Amino acid sequence: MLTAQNLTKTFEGSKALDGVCFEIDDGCVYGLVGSNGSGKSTLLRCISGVYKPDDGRVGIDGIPSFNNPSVKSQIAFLGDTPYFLPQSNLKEMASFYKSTYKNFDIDTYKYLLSVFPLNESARLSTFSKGMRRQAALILMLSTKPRYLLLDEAFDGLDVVMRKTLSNIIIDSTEKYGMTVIIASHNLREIEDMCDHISLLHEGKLIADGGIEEVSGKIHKIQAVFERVPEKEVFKQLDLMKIEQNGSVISLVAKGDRDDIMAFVDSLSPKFSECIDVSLEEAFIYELEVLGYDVKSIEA
Amino acid sequence: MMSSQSKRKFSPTFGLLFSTINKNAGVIILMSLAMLIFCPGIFLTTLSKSEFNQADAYTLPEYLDILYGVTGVVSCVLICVCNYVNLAYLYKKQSSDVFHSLPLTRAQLLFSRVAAGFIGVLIPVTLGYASLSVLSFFYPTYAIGTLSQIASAYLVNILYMLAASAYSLIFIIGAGSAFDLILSFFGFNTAVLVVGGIIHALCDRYLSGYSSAFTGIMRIVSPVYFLGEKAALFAIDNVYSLPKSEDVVFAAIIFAAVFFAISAILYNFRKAERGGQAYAYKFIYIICAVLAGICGGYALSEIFVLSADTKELSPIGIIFFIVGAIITTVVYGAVTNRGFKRFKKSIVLGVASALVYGVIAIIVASGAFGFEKRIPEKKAISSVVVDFDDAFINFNDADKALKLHKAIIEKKADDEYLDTVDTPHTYVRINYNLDKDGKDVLMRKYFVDKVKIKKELFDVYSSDERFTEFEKGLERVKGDSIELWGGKSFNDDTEYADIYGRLTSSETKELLSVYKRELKAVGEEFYSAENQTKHSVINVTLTIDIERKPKSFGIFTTDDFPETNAILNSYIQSNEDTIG
Repeated sequence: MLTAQNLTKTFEGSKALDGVCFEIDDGCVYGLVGSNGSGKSTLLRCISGVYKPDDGRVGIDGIPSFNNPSVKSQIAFLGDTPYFLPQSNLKEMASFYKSTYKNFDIDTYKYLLSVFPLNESARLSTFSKGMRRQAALILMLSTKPRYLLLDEAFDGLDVVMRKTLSNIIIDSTEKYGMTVIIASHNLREIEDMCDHISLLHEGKLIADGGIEEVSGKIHKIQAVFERVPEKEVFKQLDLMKIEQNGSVISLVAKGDRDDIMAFVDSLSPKFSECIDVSLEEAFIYELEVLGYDVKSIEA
Repeated sequence: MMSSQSKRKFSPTFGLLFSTINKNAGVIILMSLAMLIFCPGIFLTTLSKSEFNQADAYTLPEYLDILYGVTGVVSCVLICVCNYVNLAYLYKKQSSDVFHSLPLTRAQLLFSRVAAGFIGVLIPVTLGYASLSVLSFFYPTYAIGTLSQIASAYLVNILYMLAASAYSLIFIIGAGSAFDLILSFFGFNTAVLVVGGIIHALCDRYLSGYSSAFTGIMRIVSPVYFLGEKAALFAIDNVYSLPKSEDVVFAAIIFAAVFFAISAILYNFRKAERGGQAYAYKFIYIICAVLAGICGGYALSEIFVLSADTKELSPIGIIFFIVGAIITTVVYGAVTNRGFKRFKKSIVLGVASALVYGVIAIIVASGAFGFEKRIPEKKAISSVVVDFDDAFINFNDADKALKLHKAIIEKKADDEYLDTVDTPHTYVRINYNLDKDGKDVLMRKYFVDKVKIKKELFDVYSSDERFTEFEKGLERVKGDSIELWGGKSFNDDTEYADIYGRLTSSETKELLSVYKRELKAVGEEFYSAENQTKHSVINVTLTIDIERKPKSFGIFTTDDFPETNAILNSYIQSNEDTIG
C-alpha cells in the first residue's frame, strides 16, 4: 500500500504540498487531478523519491521512498516531459534501465515494442513528442513496477495510442496487480480509466475517493417556485453554489441526494429535478468553493 | 538450473557505472588513441631518430617532463569535464527526475557517475604510463626513467586526478545550472588568488614584520595553488621519486578525502528541485559574490588611492572600496539572477564584502593576533640570521638579534611610510631557526628608521660574528683572489671614484682589522643621522669565492675611518676611470 502522512513540500516559502494524507491500495488506477500548480507533479516526485519531503512521509508499506533503493525499485516515474540520455536510442535506453532495475523484463520490452511501432535503433532525439512518450512508456512498463507514476500520461499521444496505452495499463493492473497513479488535466480520460481519484488544490487534498464517490457527492438541483424562498433558507444544505434566474433556483450542494431533494421538495416547488454532475463539473465546483478563478477556466 | 546471471547479485550501482562507461566508450577510445600517439608515439619516433643522431636521445628527458606535466594537467582537467558531463542531469528537471528516481541512494548515484568518469580518464592515462614502462624496460640506456620513477609519477597523477575530481564536485553539486557552474568555478578560483594578493599587499604595508612571499598566502587560500606547487616541486626537486615526496602524496590524499566527503554531504542534502536555478546551495553564490566584491572594491579603491597618493585604509580608500564592492556584487547578482531581481540583497553582499575586507584590515593593522609583537624565546632559537644593508650575519647566540628585534618593536622603528629622503633607512630581515632541522622558521622583515635603533643596529653590525664568518673563509683563499670593489663619493656629491683591487688573504685581514678597530671607536654614532647622510663616504665590498659559493663583506666608511680610508684610497682607479 502506498501511503502519505502529513506530506509537506515547500519551494522558497510557498507550500507546494500542505499536509497531504492518502492511502492507495494495490492494483488500482488512481487519478490525481488539480488546478495548475496544485502540487500534482510535486506529489509524484515525492512518491518516486526524487524530492525529499520537508515534513511528513510518503512510501510503500510504511517505508519512505526517498533515498531508499528497495522502495524506489518498485516505482517507475514518467515525468511530464520524457528524458533520454543524449544521443541515445531506445535500445541503449533499455540497456540503461536494465542495468539499474532488477525487474526489467526484456520480454515485456519486446512485446511493448511490437505494440508501439517504434524503431529501437533510431535516435530518440529524432522522435516526435508522442513517439518519445511512447518510448518512455515502453521503458517504464518494462521495469515491471509495482507502482507506475504518470505525469500527464496521455499528453502528445494520438487517439489510437491513448486507447492502446489505456488497455495496457488496465491489463497490467489486472495481471500483475500494478498500481497506476495518473496526474492529468484531462478529466475525461481520468474518469474513463481511474477507479479512484484525488483532487488537489494549492497543495491540499480536497477530495479523495472512488469516481462515483467524488462526483456522486455533489448534486445539481434545479427548482421552479411560485414564491421563490430566500437564499438564506438553502444555507441549511452543504451549499457550493446557488443562482436565481426569475423563479428558477439552481443550486449545487454536497451530500446525500435523497436528503437534498427532500429538503428542496419541502419548500413546495412547482418543479424540481436533480441533474447528474460529471467529474469535470464536480472538479470546477470544488475549486469554485475554494475561490479558484473558475470563470477564466470557463472562458 | 539457475543461469549465471541470476546467480550474480544484481547491483544497480555497478550497473549504472558500467552503463555510463559503455555510453562514453567512444570518447574513452579517442582519448586512449590520443594518449598512445603522445606516448609511446613521440618516444618511439625520437628513439628511432637517436639511432642516427645521438643528440636526439638527449631530448628524451624533456619529452618525459612534458609527458608527466601534460598528462597530469590534462587528466585533471578531463576529470572535471567528465564529472560535469556525468552529473549534468542535476541541472534539468527532466533529467534530474530520471536519475533521482532510479533505485539507488544518493551516495550510490554519485559514486557510479563519478567513478565512471574517473575510469574513463584513467584508462588512457594508464595506457600512457604502461607504454612508458615498457619502453624503459626495452631501452634502459636511454634517459626514460626507472620503473619506480614512472610508477611514482603514475601514482601521484592518479591521486591528483582524485583530488581534482573531488574538488570539481563541490562546484558541480553546488551549482544549479551549467552557466553558474562555470561562473562560480572560475570566479572562485581566480578570486581567491586575487584576494590572497590583496591580503598580501595589506600585510606588506600594515603588518609590521611581515615577510612572507606572495606564495605563502596563496598556499593558504587556494587549494589549486597549493597542490599545483606541490606537484611542481615533486617534478623538479624529487625527480619523480616517491620516497622523497611523501608530502605530495599525503597532501593529495588529504585533499581528495576532504573534498569527497564535502561533495558527498552536499549531494546527499542537495534538493533535486534546485535544478535549473542558479545555485543549489546559496552559500556558494554568497562566497563567490563576497570574493568578487572584495576584488572589485579593492580595484576601485586602488585607482583612487594611487591618484590621490594616499593609503588603502584612508577615508578615500575605504569609501571607494565600499562603492566598488557594491557595484561588483550588484553586477554579479544581476548576472546570477538574470536581472536586478535581488538588487537589495546584492547591495547587502557588497556591504558584506566591505565588512570582510574591514575585518581583514583591522586584524592586519592591529598586529594579526600578536604577530607583530611575537619574539621567540631565546632557548627556542637554534640560530638566527640578520640581514640588512651590506651585512648578512649568522648568530648562534641570538642575544644581539633579539635585542635588535625588541628595539624595533619597542621603539616603533618600523614604518613602511617613513620619509626616505631625510631619514636614514634600511630593510632589516631577521630569520629565526626554531629547530635544528630548519623546518620551523620565524621570519620578520622591517623597514626601519636606522637612527631610532642605532645602538642595536651597531651592535649587530660591529659584532664579532660578522667579521669571523668572513675571516674563516679567508683561510682557504690562495693568492690575490679576494676582490675589492665599490666606490668613493666626495663631499660636494658631484664626483665619484671607482675602487677596485685584488687582495691577498693577509692584506684583507689587515684591512678588516683596521676597519673593525675604527668602527668600534666610532660606536653607535655610526648610525647617527649625520653620519648616515654624509656625502663623503666609501662603500666597498670584499668578495671571495669558495667552491663556487661567493661570500661578501661590506665596508662603509666616513671621514671617521682615516686608516681604513687610507688603505681603500690606494685602490682608487685612475682619473680616466672615475665618473664625474
